[in-house]
Amino acid sequence: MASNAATLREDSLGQTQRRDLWWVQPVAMAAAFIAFIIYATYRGLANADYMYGHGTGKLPESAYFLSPFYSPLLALPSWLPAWLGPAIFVMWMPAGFRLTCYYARRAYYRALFADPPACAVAEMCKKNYKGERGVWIFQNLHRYFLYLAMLLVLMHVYHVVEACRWPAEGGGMRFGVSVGTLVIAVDLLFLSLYVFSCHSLRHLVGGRLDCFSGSSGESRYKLWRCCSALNEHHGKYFWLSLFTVGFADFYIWMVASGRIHDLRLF
Amino acid sequence: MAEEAILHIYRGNNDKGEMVEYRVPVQPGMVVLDAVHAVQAMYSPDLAVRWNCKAGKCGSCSGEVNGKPRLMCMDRMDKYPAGEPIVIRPIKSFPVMKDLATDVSWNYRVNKKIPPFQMKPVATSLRDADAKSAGSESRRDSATAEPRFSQEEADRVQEFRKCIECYLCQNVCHVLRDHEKHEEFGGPRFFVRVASLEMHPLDCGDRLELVKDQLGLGFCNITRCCTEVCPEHIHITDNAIIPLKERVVDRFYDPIKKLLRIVFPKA
Ligand code: SF4
Ligand code: SF4
Ligand code: FES
Ligand code: FES
Repeated sequence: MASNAATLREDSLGQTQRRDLWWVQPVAMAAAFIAFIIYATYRGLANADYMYGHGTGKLPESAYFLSPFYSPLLALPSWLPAWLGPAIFVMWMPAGFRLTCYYARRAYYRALFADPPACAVAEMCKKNYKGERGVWIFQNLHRYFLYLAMLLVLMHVYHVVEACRWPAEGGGMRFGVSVGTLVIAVDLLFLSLYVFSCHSLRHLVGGRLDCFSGSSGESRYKLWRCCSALNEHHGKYFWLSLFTVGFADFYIWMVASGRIHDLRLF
Repeated sequence: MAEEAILHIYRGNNDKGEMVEYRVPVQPGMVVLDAVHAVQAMYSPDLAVRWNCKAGKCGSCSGEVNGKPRLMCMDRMDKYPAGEPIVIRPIKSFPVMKDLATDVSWNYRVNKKIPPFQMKPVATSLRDADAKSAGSESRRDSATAEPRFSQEEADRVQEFRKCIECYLCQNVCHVLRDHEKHEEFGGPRFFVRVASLEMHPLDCGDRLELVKDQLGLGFCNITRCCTEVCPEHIHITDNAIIPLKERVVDRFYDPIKKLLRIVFPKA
């Protein structure tokens, strides 16, 4: 039996000789990206139910909780239109960090731009391909978003510390932990793992050196090794931290809007 | 009676060809290359296929089995469902010479563009200021006065030396496979080679401009197909391409570094 060699062509989107379920991963990732973008945009523009606890006017008996989408909380001048909430002025930082992340680039070039949709599977647009030389050249600024992301990690540390300081009955503050504290602590953990496994950081701490000799060379080698060990799981940390940040916001939304009660553990 | 494998094998050249069906008996432990050899023995001695070691070490037997780029000598037949045809094609990114043999000489031409290892003058071999403070003796063996470097420094470039030049990464890379940028792009195999030289502690060559302009590193959109197919499990994107991209950013795209270089040209 002989079939025509023309059937070997991979000309239009999705054409391939592969027989496995290559489309499952890009479809699942596209769904996750789109769901997150819609949720984060809605919450960023909602401008409501993003914080609670003492000093916020809501649940004054609770520790202070702020949605990670609104952190750091900016006091906006009164002449700005009311619908422009504080989130819009801070969300570009984590958004830019994730948009320019080397792992995320792999994921959304495949899932959202089908460039390529999967390995050895034909793409949609073959003409004028420029890769990261054309409009995507700004991806090279990832390191600047990394510096901002490190500041965001510090903000998250501050929020976890705040979430452990509960108003005491006789006045003052005492240590306490609620489910909400754990939710934002887990978010801090995965955000930190995500940031400290960054490829640009790996380059910065030691990857850019050729020689690891001398006292600082050795310590930078150790730092580079640590960063490299984390870096192997960078993709996992990307998704986990994306989920935990969304969930932390969702939890705070639910408590702040009175739909659920934040259970105090001790 | 031994179980039978159904093979659909590409027969032809770069302009004209067809998929031809063959049936061969399956032996225990058989790999796809064995099945192709059985076709040669039983039906078609003129079937062209390149191979050498049958141990996954020479990089000759690259092909596409059921659409996936693989070394045929490392691809066991028992993982394919019995009774279903196994489709075997030559690698797509290079011209077919005959049947499963392709002309990969383009790769040798790209390789020639890369300046080879250039030994540092050892006394001034220490690039970064911290290492300098350790003294240039650290670069020489005290007994033989031979240049030396540490195991840690060797480990990083060692990974890249595992490359067997099978060109499966070049074949699967969409910049070559779909966009056919053979003139402007070097491909993952040569990013691995440049990384092995650029990160070498005793090399003083400078290939960053080459890798950015002539080898077109910016065309790579780090979608990692090269890493997925590499039979030597080299972390092509994480350990070669991304670190090279970061070095290129240091030199060409980081605005603050550029500014600092203008203000303090010597530093
Ligand atoms: S990561 Fe870059 S070099 Fe590797 S296959 Fe993808 S585009 Fe090609
Ligand atoms: S890097 Fe890996 S896939 Fe590419 S030629 Fe070398 S061994 Fe083959
Ligand atoms: S590479 Fe992913 S955060 Fe930097
Ligand atoms: S024959 Fe040598 S790698 Fe397959």
